[in-house]
Amino acid sequence: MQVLELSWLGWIVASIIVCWALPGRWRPWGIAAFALGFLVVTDPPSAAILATMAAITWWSGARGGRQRPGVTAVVVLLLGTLAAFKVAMASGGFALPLGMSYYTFRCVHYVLERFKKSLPPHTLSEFLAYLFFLPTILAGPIHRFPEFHRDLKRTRLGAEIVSEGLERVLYGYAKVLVVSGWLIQQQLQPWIAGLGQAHAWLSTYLYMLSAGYMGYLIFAGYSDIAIGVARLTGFRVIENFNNPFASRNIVEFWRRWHISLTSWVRDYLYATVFSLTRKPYLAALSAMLVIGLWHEVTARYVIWGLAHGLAVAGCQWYQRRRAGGTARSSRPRAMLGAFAGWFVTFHFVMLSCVFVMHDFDRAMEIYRTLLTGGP
Amino acid sequence: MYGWLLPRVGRRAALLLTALWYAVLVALVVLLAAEPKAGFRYDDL
Repeated sequence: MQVLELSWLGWIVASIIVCWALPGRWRPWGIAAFALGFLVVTDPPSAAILATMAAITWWSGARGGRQRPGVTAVVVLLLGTLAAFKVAMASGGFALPLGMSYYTFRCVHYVLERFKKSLPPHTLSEFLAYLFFLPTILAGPIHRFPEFHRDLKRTRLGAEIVSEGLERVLYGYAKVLVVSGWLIQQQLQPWIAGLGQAHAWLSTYLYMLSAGYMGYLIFAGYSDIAIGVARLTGFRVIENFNNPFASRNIVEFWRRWHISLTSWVRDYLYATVFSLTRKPYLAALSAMLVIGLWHEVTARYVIWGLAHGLAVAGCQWYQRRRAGGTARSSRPRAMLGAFAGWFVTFHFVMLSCVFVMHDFDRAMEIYRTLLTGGP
Repeated sequence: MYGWLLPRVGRRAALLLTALWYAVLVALVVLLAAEPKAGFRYDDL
């Protein structure tokens, strides 16, 4: 895991110092050079591929980006390249270039927003600094260009920025290494395993919850580290999680989980499919399928994406149906409804995580134990 | 935390409390760090 390695931390500390030391007009070049330098040293092929994608993206904005067919061709090329690498990776042929999934979505955002003329005037160095931004290049969030450009222009170093950034980085490392790695993996899970066959259902249920929480805490921790380091560099990037396990329905869950990805998919895929077809359920299903494929091009993630898509579509249908009604619930009934909504959402998410976190046989074994109570 | 404490307890106490809280977090991370292995794909981590 790159983000946990001391070499990455060294690059980060050096980039923060250099970023603040450089005069304003050299700052974007410094930011881009550090991330590119990191990629060249760590994984040269990744650096070459991402630099090529950056060149195509910039060229399309400057030349071909004025006409719809040119923009469509560039978006298809960018997403096609990502898809090709994902398919090759799934079949064991290639390793995915570092940060490519996040990077590609940033490129597509830039191409589409530049076509819509919604980006502020900017230079090549500012564009490169946005794409090659070390804090977010490996694990997101998929931040947006206008906010990045705003911070590039106006940030001043101060005690609050240092405090905020340092705190988020520490929370991130604590979530990944202490709560997830030490507390859950080293202390809690052996205890759960120790419950044994006599308590097979309880043991499996607690294991499912602990694994689900680990999945969440690791990613939320990485996001905290990225957001904190970005803050220390003077940038405020989009939040990625907002207490997702407190959600009372699956639509709310996807508004709180991996927010930068879901907002990207909502803006560029859901909105497009909906405007073309006027079918919200189809838009939801295709959006969730793409989110599944974004993680991994395998059957299990297709099934996972479709399951979440059907759940989101079902939830939207139910909410529309309720909105049409006139009956008002009493307070206890509303509270019971909220609890039931949370309970169903939480367990649906945890059960779906089992399917993608384990191989097929182990996932079926867990489902069987949870259904029948026995091993 | 510093920004939240500043208007409530003053600059000096805010600095002290913030530094203490960070020291506790750093100690926890240094003493208990263990790299977790989770099966969920975050893609490039």
